[in-house]
Amino acid sequence: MNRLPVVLWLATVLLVGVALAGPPGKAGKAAPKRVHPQVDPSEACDACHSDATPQVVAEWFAGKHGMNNVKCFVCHGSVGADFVLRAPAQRCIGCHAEEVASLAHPTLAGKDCFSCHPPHLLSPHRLPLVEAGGAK
Amino acid sequence: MTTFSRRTFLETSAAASALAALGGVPGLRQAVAATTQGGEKWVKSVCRYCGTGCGLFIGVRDGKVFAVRGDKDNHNDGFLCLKGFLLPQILTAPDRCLHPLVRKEGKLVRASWEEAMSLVAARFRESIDKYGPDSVAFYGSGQGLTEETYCANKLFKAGIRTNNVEGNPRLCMASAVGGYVTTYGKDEPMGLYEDIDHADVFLLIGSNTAEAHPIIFQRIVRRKEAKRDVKVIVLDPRRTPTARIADLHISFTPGNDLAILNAMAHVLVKEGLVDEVFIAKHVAFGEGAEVNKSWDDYKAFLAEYPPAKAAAIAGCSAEEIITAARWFGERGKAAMSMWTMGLNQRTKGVWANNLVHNLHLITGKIGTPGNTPFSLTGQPNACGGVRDGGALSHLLPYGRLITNDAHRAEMEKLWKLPEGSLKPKPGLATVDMFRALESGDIKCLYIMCTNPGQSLPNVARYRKAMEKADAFVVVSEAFHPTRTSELADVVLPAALWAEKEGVYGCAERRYQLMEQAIPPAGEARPDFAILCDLAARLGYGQLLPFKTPAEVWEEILTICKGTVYDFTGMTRERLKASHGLLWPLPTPGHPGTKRRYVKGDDPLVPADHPERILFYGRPDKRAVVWLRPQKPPDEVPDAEYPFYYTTGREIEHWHTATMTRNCRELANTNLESMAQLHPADAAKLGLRPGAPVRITSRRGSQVFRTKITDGAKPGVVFVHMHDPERMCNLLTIDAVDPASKQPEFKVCAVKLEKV
Repeated sequence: MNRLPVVLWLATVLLVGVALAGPPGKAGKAAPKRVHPQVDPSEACDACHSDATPQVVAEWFAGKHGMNNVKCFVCHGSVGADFVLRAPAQRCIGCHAEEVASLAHPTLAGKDCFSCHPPHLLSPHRLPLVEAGGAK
Repeated sequence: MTTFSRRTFLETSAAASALAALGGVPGLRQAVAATTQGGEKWVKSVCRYCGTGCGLFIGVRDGKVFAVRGDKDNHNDGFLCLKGFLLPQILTAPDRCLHPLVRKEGKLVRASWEEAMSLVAARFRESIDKYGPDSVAFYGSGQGLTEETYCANKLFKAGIRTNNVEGNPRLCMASAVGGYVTTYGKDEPMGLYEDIDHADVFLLIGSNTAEAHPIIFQRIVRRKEAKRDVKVIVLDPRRTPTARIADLHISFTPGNDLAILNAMAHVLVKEGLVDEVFIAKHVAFGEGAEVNKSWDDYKAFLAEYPPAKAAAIAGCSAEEIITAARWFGERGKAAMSMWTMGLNQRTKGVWANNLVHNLHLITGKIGTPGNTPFSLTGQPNACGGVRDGGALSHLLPYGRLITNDAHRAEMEKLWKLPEGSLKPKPGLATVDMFRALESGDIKCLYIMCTNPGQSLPNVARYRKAMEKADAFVVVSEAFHPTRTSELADVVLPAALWAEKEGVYGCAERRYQLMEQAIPPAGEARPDFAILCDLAARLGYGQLLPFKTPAEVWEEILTICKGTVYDFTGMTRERLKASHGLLWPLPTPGHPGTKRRYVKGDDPLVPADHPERILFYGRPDKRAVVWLRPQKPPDEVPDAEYPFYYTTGREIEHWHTATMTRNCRELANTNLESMAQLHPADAAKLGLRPGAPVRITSRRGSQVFRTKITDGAKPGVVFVHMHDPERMCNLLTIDAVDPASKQPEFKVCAVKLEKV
């Protein structure tokens, strides 16, 4: 398949998405509805995204989700209108119901999962890792 | 709408808020486990997919399933794999079968339950009366509930009185059964998942655990993260995602792992990494079918398998074999082996299983935490329903055999049958059953919860058999069309997963109750109810007088009593209150059994037994080390068919994809079967990524697109099993293991042509 249009689209979505997602801790700011293009159903996500968003793929691969094959669509949904750029916390309850429920605690007001856990890498705590320069 | 669209997420945000409001952080576990809150309920259940048996809760609102979440109190510690997380979507799939269908003038048309069931009963009755009981057959599934499979087994063996009762576990687990029974005298593993948390060495052979059993893989990863010197050995021709955590990946030519396993034993003996005391007390030796050999005979046998010779046979290096053996045998280190279809789906499958058990028995690495052989299971109730329940053509429930006079007499008494009612001759095993349909010896076939029109080996041959005008085929199925229901004469809409109640038993002897969460879709009915209806219409209603699955379970508890499975203490109430219970569990107060054959754990081992272990499954109370020589697969490459062809799973899909293709996320990922080739092979054939390539075996031919991956082994082409349009089984071989009757899906010879 010709990946160039997909790559360009993904790059655009990623930039817009990052801008809209805002800095860490600014949860609750809903990303605008984005539509992921249809894909070749014979392929996995990284067939395109290893070119389009290599950093994202590398961080995912290095993290718990990558190690345990929790793939992109578990958080981001399917293609078309089902796609979500920033996964809502409800998308995490399959494996992390207690943690999602803990967001109701007053100290976590306004936070979502990615306020503490960097997207894709999903390391246990965001700030120490960020300050240390990334994953170990 | 119950699926996970963006809209649904918004709609369910209130539900999540309610969940979050259940108690904040303190006491959260209790809050999350609550079953009803704010108009929602969370129903305890089990994942519908593989044999890992992950516990989960089903979220129901307004009578519809809107979410699932993992059960923290079950063995999976609250985690689900990517398929399990998306389970809600299968319930509202557009191809759910919502009403009965009957074939008229060549077409399946809507019918009433009365019309459909009357036709099924009439055709079965006519065939039984005219051609005898063995003219009909049942083909079930490791996905049916225990109560359903029990009803089918009893209806056919005790009512109709044919032993033509089979199920798809014959295609996936029969060789593991054969391995356990020949080595220990009894089926099913002695270990449990918890052994993963204690093992220092993992031998993963013939198992792509990362994709086929993701939650078990995750547990291995956690063990490796927790203890840095844990070693993982992976034996697989392909470098799969499982090999990512391998400290040693041995790639070998398909079908030659018997040589490797014998060579590992050779090294263990040569380097003194054996437990002579354990062997003297607990081990016997055998060859063929006789337990008539000695430790010295075995050592002489192993002398024929030096690592260099095995390496030459298997296409790996001797150093790799030596390293694997040394790691496995290192004193003071606990060793756990896991395997699945790579060993089982072979014409030497039972032997391959025996050879893994040999490694544990000669080292004494068995029956203590982290030391165990452990077969992984492909389906959620292959163990609990079909293997334990005895729903195969040679079995009776809970370890009893058709050919054993005392066992038949016992079952006749339990089932209140006249003496001599149960036939002493085993029925036809799966491949032979479909060949009998082909020959016309079987006239009527009842297929429940499985898809043989896609999953049988050499499938075109058996599709023709099902299509024959004089073959009457009934398919009870939650989806339509499938590659089997499209061939049926009658399709019965079956309730699916959350729509019914019953017990699933997973790979570690853990039985779990799935409670009904929602009503069946459309006119669908639970298979339990359909089978009771059929029994009544055939005149065997007294055998299946049950009103509820719980009543069936009450009877099952009387059937297992006194056997090595004894789970009499596993009452319905206790199952409801628990997060899974491991048998044996013979009394209401018993906690369940972690490790079988082990004093202090297994209630069948006397408390005053002088040794830590008692292999009570065999008359001599010893486990058998078998002398099993290397033998090649039934079909190997030659000049005309120069490639090995092998099949298997991808993580996104499951079996014939009747469920996973209905999840939007999964339908868009890896659904199409591709010819997965090594770059060197693709270059030789002039194939670029995506290029069509025709793969041909002696049985069939299919065009696939090319996927080039350096994880492939040169000379081996892999195609996954999930695609209903490009069926890998048009090419696979229907040769079977002579002992287990399991087909050799994993190895055959093919040629590749650029299209």
